[in-house]
Amino acid sequence: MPIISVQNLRKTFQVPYKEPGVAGALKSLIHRKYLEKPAVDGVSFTIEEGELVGFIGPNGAGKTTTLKCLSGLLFPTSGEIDVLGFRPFDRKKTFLQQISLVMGQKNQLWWDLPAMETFLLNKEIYQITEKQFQRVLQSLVEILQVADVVQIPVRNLSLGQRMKCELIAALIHQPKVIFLDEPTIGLDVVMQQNLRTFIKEYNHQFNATLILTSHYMEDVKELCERVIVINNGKIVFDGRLDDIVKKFSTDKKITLLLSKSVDLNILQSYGQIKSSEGNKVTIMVPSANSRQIAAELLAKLPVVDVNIEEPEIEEIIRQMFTRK
Amino acid sequence: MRLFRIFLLHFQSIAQHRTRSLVWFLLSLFNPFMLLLFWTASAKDNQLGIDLTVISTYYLLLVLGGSTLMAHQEEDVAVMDIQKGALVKYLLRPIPYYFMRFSEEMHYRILQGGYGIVAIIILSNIFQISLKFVSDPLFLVLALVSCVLAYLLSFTYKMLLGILAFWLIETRAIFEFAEVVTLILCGFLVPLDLLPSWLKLVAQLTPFPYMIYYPLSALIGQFSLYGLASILAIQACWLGVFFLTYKLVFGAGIKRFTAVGQ
Ligand SMILES: Nc1ncnc2c1ncn2[C@@H]1O[C@H](COP(=O)(O)OP(=O)(O)O)[C@@H](O)[C@H]1O
Ligand SMILES: [Mg+2]
Repeated sequence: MPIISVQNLRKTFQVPYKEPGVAGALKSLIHRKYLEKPAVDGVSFTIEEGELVGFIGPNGAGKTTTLKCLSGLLFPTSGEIDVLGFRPFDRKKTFLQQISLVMGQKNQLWWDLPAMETFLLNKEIYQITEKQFQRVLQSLVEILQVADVVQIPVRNLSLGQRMKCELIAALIHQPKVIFLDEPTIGLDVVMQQNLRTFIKEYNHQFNATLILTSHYMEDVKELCERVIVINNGKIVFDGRLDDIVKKFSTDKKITLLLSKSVDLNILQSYGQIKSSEGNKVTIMVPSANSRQIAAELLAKLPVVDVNIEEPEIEEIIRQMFTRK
Repeated sequence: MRLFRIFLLHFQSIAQHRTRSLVWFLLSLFNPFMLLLFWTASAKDNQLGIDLTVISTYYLLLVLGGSTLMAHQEEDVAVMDIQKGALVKYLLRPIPYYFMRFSEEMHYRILQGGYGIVAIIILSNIFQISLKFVSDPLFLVLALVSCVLAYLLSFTYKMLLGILAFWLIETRAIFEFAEVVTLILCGFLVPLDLLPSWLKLVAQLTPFPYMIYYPLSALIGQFSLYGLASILAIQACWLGVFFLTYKLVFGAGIKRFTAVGQ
């Protein structure tokens, strides 16, 4: 029984449209035109309890819009969503008590007061018992290492500290389902790593179901076994991260170490040259005949060492997004 | 009890804004203050045949009433919450938006009410006005209930105005127009009795006098028990109508919410 199921979700935004120039401005005064812009265009997937799924795609792909529909903020244009047995848009109290949406830029913390005051407010709003509040707060403060920070007014905190406090405020009610929208955006490398460790640990410790969007491959690579790749509002891949490589890489990468420099034109006839530094040359060749090409090159050229690899995931995904 | 603790937590956050709130308060004093000057001056040659203690008490109470009974959250609701998307943080929490906004707004009224009482004491001493209040405890309690209902009415009215932003891009002009109409019809410029009779009749058919004029008149002791009871009843009816309308309009509007910028 999946904990999240989405069928044919579509969300269209109406954006005001103005023809260029003065005439267009006058026209739009009288009759404002709208363009229907599909942000999410027929998305379907299911997620089981305890899964940590990565949602990746370029800017404007529809990741945030999907998460907003899943958490009940947006009314879907069409399609069915079921999260924990609820229709999110109804925003039933028992539904909201079990989910959380964390967005990189959003802040629910009171700016002028210490973060602790917001935690206390949420304690009342979510009707958390004192015992549970203390227990969860303590474990979150410990994992995130912010014991000395929660008593300082939020406006005096650094971006990283604030983000950690936002996380505590969003997780203090121990949600079963968590939507994380670009949680590492704007953080330095060390903080990004801390946060990844935290997400992994939270997923284990609380057996929570998480969907994480990001356009940093690092986040997804380290955290998610399963990824959903979305582009132009449509799912283009849903499966194990490793399978992206198998499914989408049409090329392999052959790296040759030569004993002396050779005419690059010979190599060019086998495939596209990616790089050549001194005696080290990398070419991309079609996967199907990569073994045969490697054999021919070994025979023809003064090869010291040869290495055949799959291309980087980043590379493949970039190709997926730039193709048409 | 839980709701009360939420109120208390909100009060802390708003107490941070007490200086800004004082400035707003001083600005809001301006109008009743000018009118008070006008009426105390014309008290010297009393030709209108009106009880001037009542009038000057009324304007003094307006100092308090204008700052405690009138809610002012419509701009925040429209611009911050709906157009800039801050509504997201309310929608995600398992507690109604209406209640959270109420809990935040109310404290500004309490804060400003405190300033208002100080201002009344100072002004009544400067102008040598002897205040005329209702003295019977039952009448006083009912008048205070009427004040609470008036605030709830004003709050719900402003919520309704604010959520028009689900449909409208430009709300400022509408709010300002609504404010002028409200001020006239609720008795903020001139007590209802001094309005031209046709306008008075129009005003009585609207909910606006129930936001300021009637509750303040009740405090001064202008009503019989029967009059007071019917005012409370009508206030309750208007409140019901406003609240149901709010629920309906919000339910329709929220489908158009796009959570921009969040
Ligand atoms: N509130 C909105 N109003 C109009 N268009 C929007 C709104 N939110 C998002 N969009 C558009 O929908 C598309 C998907 O946006 P989004 O879901 O934010 O993408 P992502 O999070 O993957 O970067 C984009 O083209 C964006 O411009
Ligand atoms: Mg996004």
